[in-house]
Amino acid sequence: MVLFVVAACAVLAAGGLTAVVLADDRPRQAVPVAAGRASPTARADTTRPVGPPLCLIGSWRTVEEQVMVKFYNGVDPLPMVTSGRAYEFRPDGTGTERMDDVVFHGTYQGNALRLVGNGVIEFTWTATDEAITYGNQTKAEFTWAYYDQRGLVETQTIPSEQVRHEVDDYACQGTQLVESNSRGYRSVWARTAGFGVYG
Amino acid sequence: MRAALVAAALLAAAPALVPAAAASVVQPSSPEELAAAIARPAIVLITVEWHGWVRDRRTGEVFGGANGYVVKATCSGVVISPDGHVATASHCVHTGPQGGAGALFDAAIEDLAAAGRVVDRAKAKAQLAEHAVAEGADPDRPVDRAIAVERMEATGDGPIRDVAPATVVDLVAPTEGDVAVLKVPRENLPSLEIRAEQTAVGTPILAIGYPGSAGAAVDPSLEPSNKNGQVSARRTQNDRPFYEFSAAATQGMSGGPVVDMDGRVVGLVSQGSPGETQSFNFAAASSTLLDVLAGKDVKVEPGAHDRDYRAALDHYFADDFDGAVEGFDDVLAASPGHLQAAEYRRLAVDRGGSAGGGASLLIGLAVLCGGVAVATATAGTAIALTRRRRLSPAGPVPPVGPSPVVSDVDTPPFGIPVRATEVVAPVQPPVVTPTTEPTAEPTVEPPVDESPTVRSTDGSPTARVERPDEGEPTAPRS
Repeated sequence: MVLFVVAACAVLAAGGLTAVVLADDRPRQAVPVAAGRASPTARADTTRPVGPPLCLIGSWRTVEEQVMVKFYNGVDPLPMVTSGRAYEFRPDGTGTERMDDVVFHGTYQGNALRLVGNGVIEFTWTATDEAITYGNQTKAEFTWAYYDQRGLVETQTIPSEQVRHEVDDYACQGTQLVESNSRGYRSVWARTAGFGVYG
Repeated sequence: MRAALVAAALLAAAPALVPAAAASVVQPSSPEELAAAIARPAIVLITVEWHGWVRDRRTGEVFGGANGYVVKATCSGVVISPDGHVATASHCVHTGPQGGAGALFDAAIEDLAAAGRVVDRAKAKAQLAEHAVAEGADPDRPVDRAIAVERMEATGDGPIRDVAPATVVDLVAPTEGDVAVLKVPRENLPSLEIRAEQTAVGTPILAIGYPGSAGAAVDPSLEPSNKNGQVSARRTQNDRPFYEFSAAATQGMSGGPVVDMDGRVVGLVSQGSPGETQSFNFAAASSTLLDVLAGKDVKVEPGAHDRDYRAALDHYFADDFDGAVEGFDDVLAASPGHLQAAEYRRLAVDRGGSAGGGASLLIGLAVLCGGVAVATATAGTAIALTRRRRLSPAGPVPPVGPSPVVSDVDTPPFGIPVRATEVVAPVQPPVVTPTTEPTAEPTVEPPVDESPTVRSTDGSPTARVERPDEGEPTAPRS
């Protein structure tokens, strides 16, 4: 009798296992990765108007200048040297030139000449990467004092507003800017900590 | 018999076991190895492209030229639901100064530094953060942000890099939890479970991600780095929990998961500590991630294929390569691009596993059981026939004395042995009068000491002994 029961159990087990095997119809092969899925799209190009040259913006002080100055009436402009003029170029196209007893030195017929500037001049400007165009002088509180071998010969107060329209070449690299023109003007500027400098 | 069955079963299973025994043992060398195996499939590389300009509100100066700055940053992330939810650090995708705006500020600072307009970069960035704004093509328009989630997928032609666009579901600012949840248009992705309970200090963890120095953006394999360590402390920043952990983590690993040894997400790599060694980092706690998800009513949990993958890994590391192959097949059926499932499946096959291994074993057992059934049925039939012949009497059973037990079976349920009651033989053979119908074989008398239904003569309700002198009362003799 025991053997019959074992046989019956074995039959049931065999049947059950067979059923399990037959029921195990899981897919065995991976289906391909779905195609045509969303992928990143290219960004639309957008632009903004180009502002003034980054390098020009800021505050500067001249360290070495040679300028041509109309010192005497009836005499061609004379070369003079100076340093210490301060400029500020702002991104809105305005600028400031400031002189505090800045002295221009020159000679004429063996005599020493001095031109002393004092005051502030506001102006407008535009620039490319190579040239600065000075526009209008919008405000000025400025005087020139002329000295020769005789001493102070004249003092001039410049008009508060006048059209300037001067175009100079320039090259700006880091903290130094060199401005020049074909009329003999050359000025080396150094950037100063102030406007336009971060940190 | 039981021993015989066990032996037979082992014999039947032997062909399946021998290759496994012959193959090398692949127990994980450390808990970290198993944790990495669990977690790696869900690790993703997040690339964010920022496009915009920086405008100083004080001066109106706009940095970025005509085309603006384009800054690409990479972070890490983890898939937290098969339907494409991805968790990362919010500073990777946030538009504020600690995110995209900060990246654009950095670009502007590069320009300004080249122009000699930066003295101290950190201070310069702080100034921009305070006074400048990052914006799009028009003033106050948001910057352009393009987020892509990259992961490797298995295909018939080998692994490929899947790049999916992502959108931000929700986030908390970097200073208020540093967690973001993204969504990619993908399904059946490998994902990780988020650990809901707080993680104790000292818990071993893995920080996983793509260090920027490893060049994940150009590495074709997109293999993440696993850095092991432990939870060093629990911290709070702006009422948000963070974990300090000792695993190394560099910039590109931001947003990558910190997982426990079960591969559950404990946190997201958030930030390092300036001035400290690399093994001093912070992870946004998983509770913050759960809060963000709850805030958007997003429910995430691992998929069935994630559980299958874990089970298949368990088979694999238990040297059950047949089970592992079948498990990984299940994973690949549900998540076709599951690269690690494909890799581990190949390893399991290399170690002798096969897709039909389990079924073969079942078939073997079924055949074995069938054989056992036939054998035992045959043996039982033979024994029954033998017993029948032995039970067939040549003549009447001797009516006197105790009869021998003729059953072959001495255990229940075929009869409980009853202690034989000693029966005193009558002087004359009694005549048995059955109270029921005669049996088919009336000539065979049951042995008096064998059947439990037969009682002794003084108590039998079914038999009565008749004697001639008991018919009538007799007068006393003188």
